[in-house]
Amino acid sequence: MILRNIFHQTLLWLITIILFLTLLFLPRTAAYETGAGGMYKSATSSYTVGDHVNQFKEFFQYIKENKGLGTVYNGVSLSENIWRTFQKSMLITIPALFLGFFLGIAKGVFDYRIRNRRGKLFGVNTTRFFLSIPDLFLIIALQLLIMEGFEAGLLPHIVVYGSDQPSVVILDIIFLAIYPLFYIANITFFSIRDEQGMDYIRTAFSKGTSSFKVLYRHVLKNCFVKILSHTNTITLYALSNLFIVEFLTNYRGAAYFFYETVTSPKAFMVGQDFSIAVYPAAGYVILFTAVIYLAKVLSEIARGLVSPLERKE
Amino acid sequence: MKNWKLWISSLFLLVLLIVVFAGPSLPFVDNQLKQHGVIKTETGSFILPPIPPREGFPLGSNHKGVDVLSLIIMGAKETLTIVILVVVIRYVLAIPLAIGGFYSKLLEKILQGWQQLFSFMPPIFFVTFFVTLPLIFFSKERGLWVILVIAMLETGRVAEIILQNLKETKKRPYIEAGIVAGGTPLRLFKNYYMPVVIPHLIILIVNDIGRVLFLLAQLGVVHVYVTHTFITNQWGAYEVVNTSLAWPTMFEKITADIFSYQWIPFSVIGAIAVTIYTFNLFADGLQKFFENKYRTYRADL
Repeated sequence: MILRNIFHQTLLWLITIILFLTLLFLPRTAAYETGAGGMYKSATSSYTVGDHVNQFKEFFQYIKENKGLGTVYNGVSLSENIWRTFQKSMLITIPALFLGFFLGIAKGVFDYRIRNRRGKLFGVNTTRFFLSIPDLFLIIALQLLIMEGFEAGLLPHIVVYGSDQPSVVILDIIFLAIYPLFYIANITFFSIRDEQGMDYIRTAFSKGTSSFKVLYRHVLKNCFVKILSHTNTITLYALSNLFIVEFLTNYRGAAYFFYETVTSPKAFMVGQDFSIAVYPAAGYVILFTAVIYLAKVLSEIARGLVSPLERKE
Repeated sequence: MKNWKLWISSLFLLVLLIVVFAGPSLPFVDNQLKQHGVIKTETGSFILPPIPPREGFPLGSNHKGVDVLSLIIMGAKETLTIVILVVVIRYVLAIPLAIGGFYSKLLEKILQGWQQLFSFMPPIFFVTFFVTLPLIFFSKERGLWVILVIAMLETGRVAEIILQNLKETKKRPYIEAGIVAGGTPLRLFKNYYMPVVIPHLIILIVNDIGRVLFLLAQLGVVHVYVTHTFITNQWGAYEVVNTSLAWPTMFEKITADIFSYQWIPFSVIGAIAVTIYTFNLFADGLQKFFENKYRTYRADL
């Protein structure tokens, strides 16, 4: 069952890569229409299947000739560069995802345990609150707070903007982990609540198992299936946020360069070619979709390990 | 007052509506968006724009000396129009697709393919990528194109959620009762499925409004705006400038502003955060309202 699912996902991944490359290679020639004195009036673009196919052909020919994606500067190949920036991005994304995932479960369990006690305001209500306000706001507010804190002499000097500072790496991990953490906490809380009152819990209690053990060994294990089905969502979200976080903290990772390759020009001249740097973009597309693919596969495997029901089916 | 979320968010929504429709005529709003030059203070010193928050500029001014509070209030209408348009288009496509998918296997496959394809890449990438296509970049109806792209990106996801909801409903015993009682498919759909699905749909739509606004804010940070125009500069090139008042456009210089003119990005993100929070709170409140109304609330054991 797991193997079949993984095979299924792999197939899907390959199909999406092909589709994405097709989109990426859409011909981008623009025909300009000019008025008096070469003034810009309008521009149109035409699409022919032949052009589109040609783009593909050129791409593969290029790879063949250059034995890769070509070089960027002094002997550093483009593929090496893509890989280097990608590693840099993963340095913040992967810890953030794991942090968000496990702390999120911890927060969800905490929310559940505290729900009828004093201090329940810090429970599910805070989770809902942090889920409802955009984390962009939290990121900007945190950055400002750190800077103001330093000015007021409350905080040591923390670099919030840069590409190689360890403090930026740590901050980025925190920024990226915010949303996944509260998202998972919310899911955990509601799946624990859905489990309550089930027969197996009563059985466990009647055998004298402590409530701590019941929660961690029995209930959580059943909740994992539900929680793990959301890994795709949080990975997608973290990658989406990676663009913002890298941009706001000047962290030069893959998302930043990827954005640079596909972004629209700030100005153009009449007759300008509108092609984007398709080759690096293609490299990044494959790597980013691979991250999502791996997240899907990992969640499949974890689900299989956790739940015997999922294995059999 | 039991459902405080619904009450508070309704109040916020009312304020938002007032801002949208009556905002430009409020006394403290400069609806001409006048650009202020140098300002002389009481002590005789001069302040150049961007002017920090002070009398006459409750949230400061932007780089051109325009009052930020007025900008936010004047931009509310455009921002919300874009968001609502995206959501309307998305659901106009998604609802028939979901219902079709419920009855036809082929449509279900299309729907799942759509959802799977776009679940492999963050939406922010797709939008950045599509808007640079010359077809959209030079189009006179660029705004509509961008709105369409944003709407289509998550149509699959939304349709999938609606479809799942329909399928969950199908498993419930009262549907069988309806079949046994001799209900025609149309009657079942109208009287058995719809009453359950519509409350979910309303909550989903309200939540989506928040999501779209958030995506627009993210796009604003990376300089992707819904509309733009071209102006010539002295070198004969055409600069791409945005003339819209929508909130995300105020993030234009965010990476520089955050160090010296914090009030600009902070006011805008504040306005966006409050709006998104309002919609999310409203969705929560609605959920509770429907749970109480249809008694689907799960008692805490």
